[in-house]
Amino acid sequence: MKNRTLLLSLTKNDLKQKYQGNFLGVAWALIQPTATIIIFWFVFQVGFKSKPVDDFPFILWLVAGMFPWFYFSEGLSNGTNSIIANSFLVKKVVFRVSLLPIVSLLSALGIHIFFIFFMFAMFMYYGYMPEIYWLQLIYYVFALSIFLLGLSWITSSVVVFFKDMGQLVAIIIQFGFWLTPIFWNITIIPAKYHWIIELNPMVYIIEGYRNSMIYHKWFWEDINMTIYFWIATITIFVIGGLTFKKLRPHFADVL
Amino acid sequence: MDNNLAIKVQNLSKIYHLYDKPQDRLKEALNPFNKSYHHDFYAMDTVSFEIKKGETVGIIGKNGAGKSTLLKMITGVLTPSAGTIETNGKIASLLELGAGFNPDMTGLENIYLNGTLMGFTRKEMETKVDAILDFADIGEFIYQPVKMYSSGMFARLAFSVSIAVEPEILIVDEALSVGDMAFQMKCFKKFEDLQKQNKTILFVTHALDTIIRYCGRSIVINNGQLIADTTPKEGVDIFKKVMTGNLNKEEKKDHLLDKKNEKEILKNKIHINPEALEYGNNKVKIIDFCILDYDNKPNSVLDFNMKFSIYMKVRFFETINNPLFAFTFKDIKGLEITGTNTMIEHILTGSYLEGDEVSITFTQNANIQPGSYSLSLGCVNIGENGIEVYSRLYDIILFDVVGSKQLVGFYDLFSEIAIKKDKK
Repeated sequence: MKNRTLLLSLTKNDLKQKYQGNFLGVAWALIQPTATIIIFWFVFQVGFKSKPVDDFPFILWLVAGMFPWFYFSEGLSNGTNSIIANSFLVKKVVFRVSLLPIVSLLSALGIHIFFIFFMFAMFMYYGYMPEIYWLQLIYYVFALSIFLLGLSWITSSVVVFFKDMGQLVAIIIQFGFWLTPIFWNITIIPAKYHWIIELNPMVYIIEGYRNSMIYHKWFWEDINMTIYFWIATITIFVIGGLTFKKLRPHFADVL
Repeated sequence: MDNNLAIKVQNLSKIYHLYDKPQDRLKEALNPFNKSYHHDFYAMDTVSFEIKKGETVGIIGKNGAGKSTLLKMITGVLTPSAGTIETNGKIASLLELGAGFNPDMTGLENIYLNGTLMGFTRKEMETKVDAILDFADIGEFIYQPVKMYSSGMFARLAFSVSIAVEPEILIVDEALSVGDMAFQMKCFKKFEDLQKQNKTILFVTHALDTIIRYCGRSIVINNGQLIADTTPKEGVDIFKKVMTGNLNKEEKKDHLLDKKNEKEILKNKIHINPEALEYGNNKVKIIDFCILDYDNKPNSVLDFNMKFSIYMKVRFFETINNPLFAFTFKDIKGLEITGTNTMIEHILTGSYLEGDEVSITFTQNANIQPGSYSLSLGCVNIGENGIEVYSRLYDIILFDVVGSKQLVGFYDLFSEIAIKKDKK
């Protein structure tokens, strides 16, 4: 209970602090990705007149993959920096430091939830009414959050000792964007190579968002992918938890 | 743990791994054969002590002796390499400057953030905010980001927050020294209140007179080791020896100046300020100098109102007529507090030839406000062309005056006070 109020108020501070000094404040968290979407919409829908994907307007198909990626990249880069950015707390105050990556994750999640509703609005604008399948996003948001938390525990604790980790994470996010079928359809790759692409747990998430919003498939319909994703995620989560626990006592020594 | 104890420290050690190059840390972490690339540095070496509830303990030691490391481990932000610490009751700490303030948030927001971190709800903090603001007394600045604060304001706010959360144990590390006189007095007043409430206070300071005045006990730390756990007066005495490098040396009576060997160099027995400034045309050179306490021993810590002397020895490289010898005390802020010279005292110093060596001693009582001072020495000549500087050593020795009497201003006039009732 104490931890929950602490988490909430730290998250509020985190959001506030990130955009403090900006006239528009937290609104920037929303404006920036919105601008990205508008550019994509303009380039692909208006400019290239991209063909609908599987009978769906390209822009809708794109945001269904793009928004979870925004959450992933925002969550991972903030999570990685969460310990370093709060060194003033780690060095001076006694509290559960392992909450810090959770705080970054929660503030990215808050923004992501806004985007999910924004996506719903876009779908409805194009005449697609809410479906029971949309509720499945709750499951995928949860799955992605657990995956992110495991990763952030690893990166945030390692970066304290090994600063280059921060650069590495930035590159992984950049590569990941193109290696994950966000912009392109996995069907353009010969079926026998799909497994290589699907080793990336993010593929499960992106496909999952599209299955919920567009293809109307439940997550248990592809049980193999679900099992693979959870084995990978739980492994990362456990490794993350152990790494963090092992390195935490040394944080204050090096920060 | 015994219920009367507030803190129990057993065989506490803190070892830092030092690497010659940053890459070595990574090499060691990745080396499959566990090859070691570091050497160990003992910031704290098997220290044990117990502190009872209600005690006020001062921790003294040189810079880098391990005081802050110790306090940080007791607070819990640093993890000991070996040994155990048990504490009893809520701890509030002021480590260095600021107790975990976020520089980008306003003072008020930081108050709430700190409260939350210490486990108070927003509602509970709201009831405390008025008291905090009242004590900190920084006015409109409370609505500004704390990065705009002066270090004094920072310390005011940090201190106010840490006492407002009603700790059982208060840990203060050097944080109050940046506050102004009025605020320091307010803080020490608060210390006295806390002492009455049987709260435990642990603090680090370089103001030795504060230790004598407020602490019931002192712990002296040197090179990570506890070298004394005793009364404040004795602790300060031991610390003086540490500062002059005389600890463990046998106290030989031949330190006495009047019996001293002509060849003995006294400046080697005292800590010389490495940042001292030296200039002059070197027609006369100051070749030796020292501060000697009432016992005629080289010492950089003087007892209030005890006799002490300033000694300097010069060598002449030319024939000089009637040179002038001088000394000046400055306080920490560089303000000249007192000083004198042979001209002011109407002393004719005489004529000297090349190769002559002369010792000069100024002897007086240390009836100045306890605190830290610097000593400057000089040998000049005042002729028709103005002042000719032979040799000057600015801030050559840093020394402390310690005592339990707190004065107003700089000097003690040793006033005699008479109170007489004239009417019934």
